[in-house]
Amino acid sequence: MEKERMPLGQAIFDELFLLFLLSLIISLILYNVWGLLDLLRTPLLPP
Amino acid sequence: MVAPPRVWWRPLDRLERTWLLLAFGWCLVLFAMMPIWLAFGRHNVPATIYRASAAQFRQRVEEFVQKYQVGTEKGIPIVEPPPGDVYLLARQWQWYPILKLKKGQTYRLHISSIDVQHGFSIQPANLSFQILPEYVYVITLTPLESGEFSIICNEFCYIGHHVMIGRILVTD
Amino acid sequence: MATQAIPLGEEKAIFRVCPVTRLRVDLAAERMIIANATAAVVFLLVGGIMGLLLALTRWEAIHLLPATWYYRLVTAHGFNMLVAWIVFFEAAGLYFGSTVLLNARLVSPRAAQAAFALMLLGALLVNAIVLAGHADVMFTAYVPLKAHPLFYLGIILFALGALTAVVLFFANIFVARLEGRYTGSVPLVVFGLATAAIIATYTLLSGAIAFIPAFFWSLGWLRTYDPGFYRNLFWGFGHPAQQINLAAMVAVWYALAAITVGATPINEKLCRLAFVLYILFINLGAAHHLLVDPGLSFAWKMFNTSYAMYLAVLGSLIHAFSIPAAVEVALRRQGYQRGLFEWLRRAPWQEPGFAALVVSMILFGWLGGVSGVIIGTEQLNMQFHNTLAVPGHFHATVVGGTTLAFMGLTYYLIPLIFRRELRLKRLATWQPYVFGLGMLLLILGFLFSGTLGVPRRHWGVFTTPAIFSSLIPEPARLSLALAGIGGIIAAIGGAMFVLVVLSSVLTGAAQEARSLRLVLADPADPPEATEIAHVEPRGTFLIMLAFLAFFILVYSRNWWLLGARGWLVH
Repeated sequence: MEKERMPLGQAIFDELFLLFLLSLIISLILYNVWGLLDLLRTPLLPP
Repeated sequence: MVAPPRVWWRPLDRLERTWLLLAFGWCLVLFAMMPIWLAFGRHNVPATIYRASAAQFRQRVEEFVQKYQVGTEKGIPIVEPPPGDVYLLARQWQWYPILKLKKGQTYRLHISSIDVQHGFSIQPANLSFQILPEYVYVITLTPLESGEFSIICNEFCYIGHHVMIGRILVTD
Repeated sequence: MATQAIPLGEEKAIFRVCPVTRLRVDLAAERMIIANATAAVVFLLVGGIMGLLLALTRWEAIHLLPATWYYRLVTAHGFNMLVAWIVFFEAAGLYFGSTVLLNARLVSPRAAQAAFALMLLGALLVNAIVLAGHADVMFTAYVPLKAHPLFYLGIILFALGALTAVVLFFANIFVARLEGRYTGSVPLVVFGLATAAIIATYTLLSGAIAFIPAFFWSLGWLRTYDPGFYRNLFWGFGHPAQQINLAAMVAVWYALAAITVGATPINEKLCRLAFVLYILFINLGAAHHLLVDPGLSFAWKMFNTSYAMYLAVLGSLIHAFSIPAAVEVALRRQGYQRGLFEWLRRAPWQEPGFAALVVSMILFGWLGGVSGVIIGTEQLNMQFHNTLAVPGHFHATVVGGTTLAFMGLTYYLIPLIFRRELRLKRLATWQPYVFGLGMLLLILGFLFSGTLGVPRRHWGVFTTPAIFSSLIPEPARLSLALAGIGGIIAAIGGAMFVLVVLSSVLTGAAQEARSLRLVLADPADPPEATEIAHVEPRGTFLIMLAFLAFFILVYSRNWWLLGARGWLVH
């Protein structure tokens, strides 16, 4: 019996570990790193 | 609850597709509104921020109060500065000093805290900003109406939080 | 190679077969589900009593508690509800999803017990230290407001326990796959729970990064802790913690739809896409709390607050369509074919799980979702930041939405997992409506108060002994009273829930479950089930168009209100 080929989209959606890594990378870079860099760039109060 | 068929990746129905497109279109509108308002709106979140120590900011406020004080109310100085740089200090549990402003003039209000976090909430105009120690928030404000306004602290700043109410007077 | 290292636990795990669902239930997993669900309900009861006292304090005509106790109980209520009740229940849900629904075993009962002990210890420690008056700092504990070191330690212990439960969830699924207990894709409900678990991992790691330095700082080991940094890190914990609830709640919605009307997902691809959008983008919503903070750029705020172009909102809009659509298709297949809405009129409204599903979706979507997008818009946030509208929003999502959905599911866990007969069935039928009505009034009262400028976490804007008046408009007295009345009704609804659960668990006859439904066995006059190849959810589509119109209207009105403010600001 020939098996129907698994669509790529379904294979990606089934790969929980991949989604997990992407989630962590997106959140850490866009929210944490970018945000903390913004705070670090705050200039000192001019005299 | 039950396992799906082995291959479930199949095209969307007519109504599903229509709803998905409608919803995505609405999401794009929601997103676009923010830059559009930044460009054309007259009420935007201030983005001028400086760092300063509590001592440095406190000294700056004291100099400002000495220069422009016009009176005292309930032990707190009333200050009437010209348009431009204005200072306001937040501490447990007081907004210092009382500001007297002119309607239609534009002020660069520098606010910071010298102890814990506070919330600058101007009422009844109902605009709120988060005030942190070590950060000076420069809020460019133009009152369009005269009268009496209050500043409610709307970030919990320990058990006397609810008595931290300040005052701004706007004259014609 | 790796497979050899993993022992086949068949001989150790003892299973029973559920007579209704034919699912194999690992008894060790069942014990942990019962333990976590019980702890959850106990914390719900404690937090609920606190909530009632708080609502009666904010209703300033009554003004029940003195200021110090008001703030103390806001802190305890926030922790017990947002963290203890919800996370204990989610731990139960994670064990259920990764074992029972997959015919699999709990990989390590000992780790599950350790997780439970850590969470319980942490939760008790936080409660003790707060009630003793050593941590009047609110759930958020914003640095540099300092609490007793044990407060931070309690939260860290709880987070470690929860993290262990999340790791166990993934381990269970991994081992189940290796042992061949399921093949192909996991069921949608499990996929939703996996979404929750993925979000939970980021959340709990953020919590550790935020609270461990705070713990050191409270002990004096760390001299300073930048308040801006703390806020960024804390909200990486505080907001996604609520997104775990969202994902778990949506999974529970699908489960309730399946249990009560036999609904199956209309399109697995669409439903899973919505969960994937959550996984990828929803954590960015932590920025909602920092929109009027100093030091962050417009670009950062705009991009993060919108979950990268509102992609997580798109996920919610998909679920908002696909769940009622699944219900409609299932009911139409059962023969309720006439017109646009016969399926809705003839739906099992007396079944507590169905009532909980519908009320939960309405409160979550129409009130919580819409208010969330509005409050989370960068400029509009100036009108709402730290006002009572914010608790209005999250009581709609976490209480009206998540809590009610979890309550609905609990009724079904009683026969299926606790194996007791559900008692007080009529009370259970009414409970979701009473609780929902109370929350509706409370939410509306909070939202109206917020738009009038009433701050959150504030002992009294009219009764304050401050030297100046708060100048809050008089109508806020009415909206605060509305919230207080809502709080009383919701407390009655909550008490009904606890009563049904306790009397069933303690005095219900011990028996195997006989059917999935609790109140209704079968419809009285079953229509002829029709064999139709294709059923379109036309009624749902119309409801969604109405929802979109409501959304557009309320959203536009808030821009108009901002533009009409008497103070210009930039």
